[in-house]
Formats: sequence, structure tokens, C-alpha cells
Amino acid sequence: MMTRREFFKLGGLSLLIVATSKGFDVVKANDLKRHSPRLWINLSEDNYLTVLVNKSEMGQGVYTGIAQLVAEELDFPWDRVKVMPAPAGKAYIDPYMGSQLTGGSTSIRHMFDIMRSAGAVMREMLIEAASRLWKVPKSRLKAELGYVIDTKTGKKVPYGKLAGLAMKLPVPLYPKLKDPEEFRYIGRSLPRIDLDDKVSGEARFGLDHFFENQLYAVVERPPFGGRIVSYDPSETRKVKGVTHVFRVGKGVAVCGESPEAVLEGRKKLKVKYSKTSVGSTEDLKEHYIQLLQKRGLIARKDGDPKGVYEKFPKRIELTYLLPYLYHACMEPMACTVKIDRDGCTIYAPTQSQTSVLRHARRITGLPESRIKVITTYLGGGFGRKSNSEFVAEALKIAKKTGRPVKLFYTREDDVQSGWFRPMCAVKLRGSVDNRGNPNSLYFKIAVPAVFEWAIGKERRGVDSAAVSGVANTFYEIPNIHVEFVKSKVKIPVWFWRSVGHTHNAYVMETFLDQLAHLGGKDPVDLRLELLGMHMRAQGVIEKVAEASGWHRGPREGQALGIAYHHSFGTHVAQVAEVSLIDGRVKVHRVVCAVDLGPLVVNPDLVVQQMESGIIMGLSAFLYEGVRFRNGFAVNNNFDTYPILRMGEVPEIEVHIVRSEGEMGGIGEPGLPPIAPAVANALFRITGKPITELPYYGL
Amino acid sequence: MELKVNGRLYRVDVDPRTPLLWVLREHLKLTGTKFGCLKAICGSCTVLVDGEPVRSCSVQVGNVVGKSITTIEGIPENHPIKRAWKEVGVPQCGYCQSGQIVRAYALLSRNPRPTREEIVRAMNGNLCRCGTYPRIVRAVMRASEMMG
Ligand code: FES
Ligand code: FES
Repeated sequence: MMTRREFFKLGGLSLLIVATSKGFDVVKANDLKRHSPRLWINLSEDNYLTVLVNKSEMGQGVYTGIAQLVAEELDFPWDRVKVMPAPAGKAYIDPYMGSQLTGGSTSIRHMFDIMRSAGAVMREMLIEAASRLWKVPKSRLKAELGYVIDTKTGKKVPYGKLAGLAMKLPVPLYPKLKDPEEFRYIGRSLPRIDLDDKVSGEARFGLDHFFENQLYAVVERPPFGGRIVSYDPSETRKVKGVTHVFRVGKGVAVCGESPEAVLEGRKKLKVKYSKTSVGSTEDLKEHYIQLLQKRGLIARKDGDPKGVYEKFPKRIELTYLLPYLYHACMEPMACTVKIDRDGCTIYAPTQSQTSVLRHARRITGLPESRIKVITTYLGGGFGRKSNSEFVAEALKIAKKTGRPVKLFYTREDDVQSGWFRPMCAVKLRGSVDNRGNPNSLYFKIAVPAVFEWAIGKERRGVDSAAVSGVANTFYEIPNIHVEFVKSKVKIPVWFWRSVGHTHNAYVMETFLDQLAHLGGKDPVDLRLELLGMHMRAQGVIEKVAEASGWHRGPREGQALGIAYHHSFGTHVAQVAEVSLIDGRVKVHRVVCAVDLGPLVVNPDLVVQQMESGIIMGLSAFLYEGVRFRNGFAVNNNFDTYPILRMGEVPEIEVHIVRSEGEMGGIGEPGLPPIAPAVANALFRITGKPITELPYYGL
Repeated sequence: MELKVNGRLYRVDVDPRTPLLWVLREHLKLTGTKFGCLKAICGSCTVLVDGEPVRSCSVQVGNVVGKSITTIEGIPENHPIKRAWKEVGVPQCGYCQSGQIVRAYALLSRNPRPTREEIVRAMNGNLCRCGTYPRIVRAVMRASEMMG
């Protein structure tokens, strides 16, 4: 985080963004009564642009996208743009969220106008400065790629030279944003701004900072729903380099002078666990299936789904069972913290600076002004790193030992820390009329309430994640019933890339193919019919059908499967080309069409996120699911919780479809359709619906 | 003991059974090398020992004394593998990338013209949760061309 001194040393022209009740304002650094290091963008006298990004870079490309927005409006050379993670603090909240959080595929949508406005303000101030300097009217001047140019004389001056003068001028109230035709960067696949860091090995993650006198720490954890009754540290303490063993949170921390010492020490720890209500995988399956018998909360009811279902002979009922999913960020939870007389410093790969600050205030008792949070690069996030429990643990350890701490989770610790995508059981019933049109849909899901876990207390009502994508489905089926039964299993659940859409898209899209089959309809045609009012949805379906050669049919020995889903404001359809050889699934090719609205900031990053979602979704479909015994996750490393490797990756072809309408998000929507697309292809091969995941068995 | 890393000699005072990973990262502060499993499954910690790719989480430092160790930091920035990686735009979160690049570098040093199948076979032990696999294949092919 920039200190006050560093901030003033920067010089040049510095702008801030201030959240207001109406949205946001752009102001100059010295317009604030109390000077404070709340800088968002700075133009230095030697003509470099530094953008402080209030969103976390976890692979989705947000540093690039946000910098692109500012550089666009400022009209600035891309190779002179730098980014820095914004500090944590009220000054950097996302005004549309009311917190500093990266999630819900919202970053570009929320920051689009804000960051463009900041760039535009800066540009107008520089033009004004040049106009005063040269005593020529502004209309004669233009700002282009880092220079203000006098269009009459051709005279030009680098922005940086005007920065000092501009800093004395008022901030224009209504900066004019560029028209899309004027864009030079928005819509272009500029190379990622973090490429050099990530190719050189210089990129710093949660464990890559060093403090003098630092300790290492690992934490032994109890079973889910249980606790550590007692522990015997005597053997652990004998290990050379181990310095402390004590309880922290629900676990026991082992601290020492090196990572090898704490790992060795932890192996020797003798721990007694309490009994837990969380049993084995089989118990959990039974629990969820049983829960479907209970009456739940109605999330949506249209017409008379029961009556219609009973009246029409062409009907089907299926029960789905989907597992707990683990995020498996390649970087397990890790952070580096220090508490001393001056305050507290935290290096953390966090998606939620707000929650890190909250923990830090509570644990250290320090005011926010003395807590520095440096957001490192995140080695994957996928929602998991919006939970800051690991930072809280590190701070407690630092407080207790009086030394800076590097806390790291091993892979096994990371799994046993939980916060999974919830398991769920879903009952589906549906019928089709005489012409094969679906006329009733009944959906009842038994699942934990993710939002309850996220806020840490019980809530009444339907959990929106539990029914997302179903209660608000675009499919026009006249009689619909959507019901939610809450599971209270004590396995912590959390947001997992695309949240409730992961299970609901699977269930809905595979069930829809069952209805298509029942009514003798082509799956693409049926979707297009049911989406009569939704042009954007139809657009992506038509695009994948055409690009995949849907109507020509599959290649010899293969089958095609389609799925469509709308999530986080974005429409995605995918067609998978699949074959099944000796029980092994081979996905040859995936064609994907995505519609995220009229403007795409960086098309290649969109393609990258589609590839990423498809690969992660396919991985989950084929392999993933956490198994339990006595409350412990038993498949807790990549040998027993495999994720997709290179050899099984299909060829992926992404088409970006432009349309009018609101801008959508990109980090998550690519994931939900892939599993049902592949399952629908497999159904065409085997004639059997796949209602339990993962495909290769839990 | 003395270790030769990226052409430089380092003195370290550790138990010879210590995993090379921790020595590189935490003792020598060469943090480009990452870990994902600590059990030789994921490839994030890949480094070269006398030109051969090894999983540094599962190699005892005592066994590499006197050998030449190369980490991500030791591969020159202008090497075709790194240039190709940027040209293709491989990294997402970046965490697995050091291991991927080091593994690919080892492949190309032995086989400068690998086929797609050979690339997949060599790289299949390196996990990437972000799904950069298709681009890794492209980047290795591109690097191979550049070296041509
Ligand atoms: S950390 Fe060494 S292979 Fe995974
Ligand atoms: S780039 Fe994120 S794990 Fe590979």
C-alpha cells in the first residue's frame, strides 16, 4: 500500500474516485480536505500511467481489463501503463457492492463507467492545461496516445509535462466519454498486463513475501462438524525448529523456523477428535435423498404443474444426486502477516479485502488506518478466496507468537478446510403435450444454503443460490413448480465458480433433453421454441448449432450434445462432440458461443475465460466429488481428487456473439453448460440419463 | 552445503533431507518455484537438475549437491519458450506456470520438434486448474518454431 509520503512523492496528476449516494465522483487528490493516500490513477511527470485496481487478479484478467478502460479514455500508450493492487479500505469499495470484493463476475460491469470516467477526466484536464499553456482554444487541441497535440501547428507535448499544471485545474463535472467508434483499446485483445510477471517467475503470491524473524505455521484441523478434544504436542516440540504448538480457531497450530520443521512437527502431533454428526459419503447421499421427502419453501409456482403432469401420459421423473466439489486452486490458502507496534501488514491472495480488514480489526484491535493489506496475485480463486478464514488464523498466530507469520495450507489442509460447492439431491418431474411441447416442470432441490454460510447466520426464506437459473429460467413452460429444502449438514459450503448455476444448469439442461426425447423433438429446436421471447439466448444457440454442424449430425462414432445457460448476465451455449470407448468418455471438440452484450473489452480474455470454464466444468463432470469418512474428507490430494489433465482437453472453439442489451460477466458463465452438454451427448449414445456425478463415480 | 542454482553458488545450512523445494523458495528466496501438492503429483514445483525435470517437493537437497539446478528464474527472458508463452498469452492465474515453463523447456532441450502427442505426453504431469492447457500446447509448438 502506498504511504502518504510515497503518495506525495509520486507527483504528477493524481485522481481519486469517491463513492457517493448517486454512484461515484472523480476528484483530484488535493480536493479532499484531509490528504490521504486514496489514489486511484496517477499520471507521472515522466509520462507513465499507474492504475490502482480495486479488484483481485486471480487469472480472469481483471488487471488488464480495468487498465484498458482507463488507457482508452485517457488515450494513452499501452506500454506505459502500470497496475498496482489497490490497498484495502473504504476508499476502494465497489460502489455497487458496498464492499471491496471480487466475485459474481461483476468487476468489469461495475467498474466500466467508473474507470472510463476517471480516464476521461484526466484527458480533459490535460487538454485544458495545454490550452492555458499555449493560449490556444481547446477546440484546436486533441489528446492522442500520450500527447496533447495542437492540430493547427502540429506542436505536441507529452501528457506528463502537463501533469503539474493540470493538477491545479478544477475537475470537469461531466467528462465526455468516447463513442464506441472512437475506441482504440476497448474491443481489442491487448496482451495481459501481468504476462511478464507470470512468465518470469516474478509474480508474487500469498507465500512469496519475507519478513525478518518470520515464523512458518500450519494448522491441524478437526473433522467437519467435530472438534479437537485434546492434543499431545510433546513429540512435536522435540522436532528441531518447532517453536510453538497451540490451539487456533478450531485447529491446532504448529509453528517453527522453516516449512520443513512445521510439517515434520505436525506429523508427530497426537490429536483426539470428538464424534461428529457428519458421517460417510453413503450417509450423506442418504441424507440428501431423504430430505427430498420433506416439505420445503416454494420459490416459484406457475399454473398447475401437478395436475398437468398427472394428466399427460408422456411424463418423466428423475432424481439427481450431485457431490460436494472442491475449488482446488493450484495455490492452496497461504498468507504472510506481521503485527507490530506500528500496525499490521498482511500479504494475502484475497478476493475480499473487506473481510480481511474486518478480521484484522477484530483480532488486532487496530484501527483501519494502521492495517495494510497488500493483495498479492491469487493462484486461482474460483470463489474460495473470498473466504478470509485463513488470514484470520494467520493473524491469531502472529498475535500469539509475537512474530511475523507465513501460514500455509498443504493440499490436504486445503481440502479439510472445506467451503465446498454444496452437495444436492434434486427431484425433477416433467411432461409434454400431444405435440411434444413441455407443459409442466417440477423441480425440488435439497441443498445447504450457501448464502447462510457466507453471512455466518441462519436466514429465513429461499436461498437464492439454491434455485438460481431455475426459479428465473427463461424457458417458457406454462406450469412450473420450484421448491427448496434446506440441508443443515455441518460441512462448510461456499461460492464455487458460478455457484448454484453449477448444479442447476446440469439438472435443467439434461432434463430438458429428456423432455425433448419424450416429445420427439430436436434438442436445439426445442430450446429455440421454449426461448421464443429471448433473442440473445436464441442467438447463442443458433450460433453453436451452425458452427458445430449440429444439423449435419455427428461424425461417425460420435454424438453431439447441446446445453445453454444464462448466468451473471451472460448467455452461453455449448455443443460437445463426444464418443464413448470402453467406458471412457472422450470429448473431441467443444463449440461455445457467448453473448455478453454489445461491448467486449478484451475478446481474447473472454475466450480464455470460456476455455477455463469449459475445462474446469468438464473436470468436475468426469472426476470431481469430495468423499467423506467420519467427517474427514478422504480424497484430499490430486492422486485421489483428480482434476483434468492436458491429455483429456478437447479442442475448444469460442464465438463471441454481439447483441444489444446489458453487459454480462465473464469469469463464471462459461462453466455451467459444459457438463450438461457432454451428458446430453452421452445420453444419445447410451440412451441412459446421467443423474449422478461425477461420471466416473464418487 | 553448497548448491549451484541458475549458475550461481549458494551456501545453505539445512538438513540434507530437506526437500529442495523449501530450500529454493524459503531459504534462497527463489519464490518463482511453487507447490501444489507436495507429493510429486502436480508438477508446480518442477525444476531442472542437470537438465532433467524433477519435482523439487520430492527431492532431498542432499541428493543434488554438486549438480546444476535451474529454476524458472534461470531461464532467460528472451528464450523462445518464454517469448512464445507471452505471444500465445498462456497464463491465467499464473501459479502453475513456472512448473509448466520449466517442464516445456526440458522437453524442447531434448526434443526441439515435438509432435502434439509428444507435447501432451511430456506435459501431462503438470496440472493447471485455470485450464491453460490448450495454450500451453500452442506455446510449445510456437517456441519450437522459433528455435527452428
Ligand atoms: S508440489 Fe511438487 S509435484 Fe506438486
Ligand atoms: S494458470 Fe492458474 S493454475 Fe495454471
